[in-house]
Amino acid sequence: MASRNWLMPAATGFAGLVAGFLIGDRAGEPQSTGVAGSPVVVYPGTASTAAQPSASPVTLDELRRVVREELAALPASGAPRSGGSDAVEIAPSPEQNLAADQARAVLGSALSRRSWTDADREALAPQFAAMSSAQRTDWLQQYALAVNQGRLVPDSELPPF
Amino acid sequence: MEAGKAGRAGVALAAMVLAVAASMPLAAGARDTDTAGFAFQPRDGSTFMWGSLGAARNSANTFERFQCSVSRYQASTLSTLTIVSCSVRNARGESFSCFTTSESFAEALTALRNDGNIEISVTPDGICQNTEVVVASSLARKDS
Repeated sequence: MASRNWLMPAATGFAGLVAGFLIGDRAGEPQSTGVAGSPVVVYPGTASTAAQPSASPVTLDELRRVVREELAALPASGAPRSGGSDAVEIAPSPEQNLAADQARAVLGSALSRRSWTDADREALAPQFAAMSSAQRTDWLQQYALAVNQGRLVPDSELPPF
Repeated sequence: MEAGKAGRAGVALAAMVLAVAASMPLAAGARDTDTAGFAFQPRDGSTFMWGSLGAARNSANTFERFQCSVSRYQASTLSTLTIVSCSVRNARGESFSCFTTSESFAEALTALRNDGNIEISVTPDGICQNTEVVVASSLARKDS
């Protein structure tokens, strides 16, 4: 998987960027001198050298959500994952797992009939849209292998999803 | 009067061109009649699939076809997932398909014109790996 060697440096760099952002955000918070009983709050810098922390439009929860999304999206580089150690895995949500189960059921039904029809495509569409990137590529690989091994005949003039 | 002379000269010139064209024997350049199909490559285990869109469309049978689709999904706040899916059906009605999430592969497909030719090598896992898109005068145009 030499073509995916960029994943870890990219993930590390991205995580560093986020960490820096978070640390920078914390640096703007008031710090206590730690004197027991009479805490003195000191803001870093002075009014002339450092701006007071301003209210950020981005919350920590939003940042965490973005980081989770970006890490989940990282493996989508070309080929399906092969379980290599460089893959960053984020567990799919229950909704995505449900969609993946239903998408597999649609494929299973088509395999039993040995035919992929427009009706199958329509049944798959909402599930395919709800699945994670990894689940989509996994499904597509199962579909392609079934077609290429002669176990499934596309009886539709449209793409499978 | 000058306009009338010009008009008559134009009609005469058009008639002369038509006469010359009619007297010339029918001729055409090189023609590629390859349509659509796929073939296993024993040397590396890949499968080569190809299709000339015009020739496949014009083929006498109703089986042959080649299609590719490019879809893009919002994978996260900052990124999209590109999915390219291609499939071919040969004259015997046999199908072969591949897919990839490669953005560069998707970009290569933008060179494919209505009557172009496309060739794709597919890994044993069904991944579209390499592609070549050809636009050439030798390729057939769709009749309808």
